[in-house]
Amino acid sequence: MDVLRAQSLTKRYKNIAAVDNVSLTVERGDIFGLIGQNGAGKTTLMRLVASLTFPHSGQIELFGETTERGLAQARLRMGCIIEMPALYPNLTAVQNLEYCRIQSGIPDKTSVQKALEKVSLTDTGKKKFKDFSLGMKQRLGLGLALLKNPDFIILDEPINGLDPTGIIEMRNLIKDLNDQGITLFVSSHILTELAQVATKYAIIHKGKLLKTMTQEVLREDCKRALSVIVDDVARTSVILENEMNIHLYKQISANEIRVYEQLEHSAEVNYRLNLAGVRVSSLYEVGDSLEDYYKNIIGGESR
Amino acid sequence: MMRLFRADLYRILKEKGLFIVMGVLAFFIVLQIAVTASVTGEIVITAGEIEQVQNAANEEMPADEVFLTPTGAEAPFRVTGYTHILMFILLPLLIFITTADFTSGAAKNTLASGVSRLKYYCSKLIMSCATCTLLLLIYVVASTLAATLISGFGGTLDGAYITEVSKVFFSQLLLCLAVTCVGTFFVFAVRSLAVIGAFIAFMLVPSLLLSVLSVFDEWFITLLSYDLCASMSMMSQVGSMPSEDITKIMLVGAGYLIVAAVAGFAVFRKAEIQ
Repeated sequence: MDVLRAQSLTKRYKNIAAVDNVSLTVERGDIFGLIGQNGAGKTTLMRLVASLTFPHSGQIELFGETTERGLAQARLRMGCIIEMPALYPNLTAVQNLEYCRIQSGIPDKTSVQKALEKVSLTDTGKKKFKDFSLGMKQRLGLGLALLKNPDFIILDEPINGLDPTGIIEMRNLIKDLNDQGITLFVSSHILTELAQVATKYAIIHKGKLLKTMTQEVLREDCKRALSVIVDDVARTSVILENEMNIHLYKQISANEIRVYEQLEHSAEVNYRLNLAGVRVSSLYEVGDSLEDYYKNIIGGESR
Repeated sequence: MMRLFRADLYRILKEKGLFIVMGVLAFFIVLQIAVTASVTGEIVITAGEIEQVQNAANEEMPADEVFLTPTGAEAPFRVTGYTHILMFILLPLLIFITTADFTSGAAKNTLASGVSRLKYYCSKLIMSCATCTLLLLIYVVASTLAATLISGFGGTLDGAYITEVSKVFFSQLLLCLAVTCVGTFFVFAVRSLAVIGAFIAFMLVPSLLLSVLSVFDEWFITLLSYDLCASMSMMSQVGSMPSEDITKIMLVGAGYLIVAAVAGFAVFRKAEIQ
């Protein structure tokens, strides 16, 4: 069953469409990465799902529910941090989570401690939320989202403000949660970071969803290769395998082969092919870095 | 909804704000009693109204000419004349209960976790009204106790007395709840600390404006019965007021209460939560 299905969602602020006719599906078990620049519409889309704002048109389906009452019930199975983690500044980590535990009607009083353990915040003592570092706030926000043992978690820019160690911890935590069967919907403007955890991606730009893809498709699209245009593909294959011990290659067309290993030996490939009498009309590296790939999709805009 | 109440109660008790407000309330009560303690004398009360007083020199004076320490029995009638000031003590409580949710952003956690806006709004409104009732009750009871400690009870605690006190208390309560609903409306409409300005303006500006305008035309004074702040002062004299005036003020109070409660939800129903 799909966890989240957005159909033709549109949200406008004045005359500007923050989310423009967006449709996407998050399936159970996904780590769905939503990629976009600042102001692309990621947060607005997440706010729509969390009912913090309302769409001008379109429909949200959460755990199969579409009615207002049904969606409210479905949101009980959802945890989220949207924009910055927002908790009471004068309460401690334990008090903030205890407040939410009471509010959510969770009978297990140890759930607060368990959630804090998951995000490594058991030793903050009497320190108030307002005195937390940004990283600690992010972790406590995630702890809050985990308090109810949700089936679905929305994380808006979860690595914002984290130091490198914090980023690694957050990444591992996301993977661990997914391993436990939790579906995640994560946004970021850093594709390389999302690429390390997400299993599916959607690229959003100026409110429009430009592309959705699986991790495999992204990797394939971004794979770097040596494109060799030759007059004899068959002989080229033999030379690559027998003389250069290259086995990772693919015939793309009648006169093009793409080599996916030993890219640094392009001169050697050219030399061997020439020596064997194969005419090489072109030899160059192809494939985008994640950033280039992303920039190409959004139309080459850089901010 | 009980969960929302319990959670709010937990939070309010964990923060210092409530205790600061209670401290201010205690100071306000003591100040009121202390100010009136500068002159002593005896009073004659009939149906909750001060008829006649004797000052320290045993000279009989009309009640409105002397300012003296209230006894415990007359304290509820005297202090309810200042209920409008009490409402400024209610303001920080409204801020703790609801505005803090919006300024900290914690409201979005609640609303994103499946709590409907109606339930959330009602829980905050009921919590605010309950706090207001408690505040008024503490104010009246504590004032009575403080006055009794200083001047003795000075009356009989019988059915007639309790009826008179109840009349004053419940008429003030209705107006206080109306103010609470208006305050809650401001909180949900503004959703920031700017609510302080809006609330103070609502409490002070109409009566000030009408007072100024009445200099030019006395007819404007009649509009004071539509001002909650002025109505509160008037209703402390409920025992001696004509019934049509009481009815009018109560209807105005009820009107404010209903309109503010409905309008509060209307603005919040589709509001953007930051």
